[in-house]
Amino acid sequence: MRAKPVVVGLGNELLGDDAIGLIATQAIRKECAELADFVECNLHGLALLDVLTDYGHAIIIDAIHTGRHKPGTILRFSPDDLRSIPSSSPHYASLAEVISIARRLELDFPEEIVILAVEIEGPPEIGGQLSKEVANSIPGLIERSKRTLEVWKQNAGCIKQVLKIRGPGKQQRERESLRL
Amino acid sequence: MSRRITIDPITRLEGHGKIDIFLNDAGDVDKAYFQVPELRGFERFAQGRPAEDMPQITSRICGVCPTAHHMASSKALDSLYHVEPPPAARKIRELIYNIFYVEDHALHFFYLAGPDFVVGPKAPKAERNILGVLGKVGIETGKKVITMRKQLRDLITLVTGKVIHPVFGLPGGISHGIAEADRQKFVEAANQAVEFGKFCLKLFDDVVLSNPAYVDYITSEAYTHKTYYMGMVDKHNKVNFYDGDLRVVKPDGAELVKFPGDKYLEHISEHVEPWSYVKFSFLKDIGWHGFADGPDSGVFAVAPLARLNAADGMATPLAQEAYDRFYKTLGGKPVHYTLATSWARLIELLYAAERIKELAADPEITDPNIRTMPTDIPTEGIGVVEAPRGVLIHHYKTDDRGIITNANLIVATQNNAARIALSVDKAARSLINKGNVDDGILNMIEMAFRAYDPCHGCATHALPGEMPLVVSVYDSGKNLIREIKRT
Repeated sequence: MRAKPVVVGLGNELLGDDAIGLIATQAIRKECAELADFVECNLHGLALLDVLTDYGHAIIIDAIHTGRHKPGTILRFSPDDLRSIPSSSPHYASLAEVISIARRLELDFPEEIVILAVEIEGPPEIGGQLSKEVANSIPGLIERSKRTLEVWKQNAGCIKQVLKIRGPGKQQRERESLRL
Repeated sequence: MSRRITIDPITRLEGHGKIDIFLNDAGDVDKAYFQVPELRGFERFAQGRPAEDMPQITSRICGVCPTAHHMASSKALDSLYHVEPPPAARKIRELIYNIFYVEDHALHFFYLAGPDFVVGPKAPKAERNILGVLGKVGIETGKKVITMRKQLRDLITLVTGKVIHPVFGLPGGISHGIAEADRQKFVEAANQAVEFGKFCLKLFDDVVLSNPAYVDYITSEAYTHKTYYMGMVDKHNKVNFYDGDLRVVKPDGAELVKFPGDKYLEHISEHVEPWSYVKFSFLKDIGWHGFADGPDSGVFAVAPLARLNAADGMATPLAQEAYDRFYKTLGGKPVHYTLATSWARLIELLYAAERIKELAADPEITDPNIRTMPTDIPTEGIGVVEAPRGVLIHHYKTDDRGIITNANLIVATQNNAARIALSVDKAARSLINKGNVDDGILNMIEMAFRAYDPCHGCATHALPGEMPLVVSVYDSGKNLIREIKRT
């Protein structure tokens, strides 16, 4: 298991606002280079297994089109908020499904995943630019990611301290209590 | 009063498929349509960009098979600049491409065929998915797939830089060769992949072929179409994924035509329907005569079953054995059963694994000469490969600076689109009667197109979101009476 968390930006840079996850991840990397590993990814479905395996914590940044919020609104989800939708093809495996598969196969998979999704006015067109509203969400994404990464770093430090005193046998319990 | 049934998707972006089923007064199927929406603009987007950017741009069209687009695009650049890659470059491209095939085919077998055959077509919906498959085949098998996939992807990364965005194919060759020190990694991975291919075929034997009910599904009339088949073949008419001529066989198995990929416009044309954004490919030699099978209809199929049908065999020994057994079991060539595609996919997996082994052992594979520098003025280039889902064609025209003036992509799902439409319609007609539509029946209609592993993303030049399917059933008054979201 790697010590650092991972920040994964999802999207397609050919598709206007759908690129927000990728562009925001580049911006977060500049601000928080020491706090995490960074992956920009335009694959979907089961390919997420590859980018998340071996990490303890992950932030995923993506575009979302719910039609219920103003474009540029940042929404925060946990995997529990996503419906587990069993898909009929690995092309379309949802994040919830990927997590279920990882758990079933007992892979080293993040115990905590934070999803930051930016509302876009979809569906995007090939070749479009990032809209002003969506681009304006970048400072907010940086701030929220930074805060989360700092908390994780602090907690990891605490776990190390606790382990020193109590020994590794209680590792799991300590992790749990610190998360609560 | 007739009814209409729709199968429709929930997607993050609107890259979804939709099945509309119209019932007549008796509650039988009047007509079933399979539709996908479109995001226009790819060709326009490509115009004005340097041709050398196309392997990178086209591999971003869709997050599913970037390697296939990257390879077709690299071959189109060879043709555009009139250069032939040196032997080592050609072989390394083929090696990487076969590695991609093994991991893609393995995954898709468990995902696509698994729920229908390992779990069962009429099993409760909640179990008919990859988690249900893992429950049946065991966690160890699941781990085996994941471990092998990772190992293969690491090997691809070694040569292409990234699996996600390969930076590898260049006009006249590749950017990175294989060091002698790394060769052994490819040999070891190939040995494991061959064992894995054998294991999957054994699993198919044990779970599917030994179950008469499943064999009945595969060979049932509902999933049978006697169409033409197209596939890429080497000079001995054996299946090849990376290079060769395109061969078309008739519904009776005899060769209709064999042509080099750059002559595709003489043989493949596109038909447009008002109800679909997909342009339906058909054989020019025969002509478009509607959605029908048989020797008088230009409808053809691509992808694993079509490739096996269009070839005279496999170029490697174990795959050839499996090939012979396939045709012996299913009553000779060609096989017209759509659901046999899953079996064909596994035979191809074994071939790809054996081919990796051959190429990794080739002394020339570590030759550092991997690039022929282009010196000609570019004009027009066509590159063709077999994507896992079938024949994929990239066609570019440029000005004399190599700036794209025209780009045309013919993708696998588009080549299969007419046969998929036929399959959905026929399965619906065969399985629904007197208005009786339950979840098991709708799943069996889905099976008709799932076997093709259609990828709507690049067929419509759209980015696919999460899974794409909604079935809607309408009565004869066109009233929506049932809607099932495949979610």
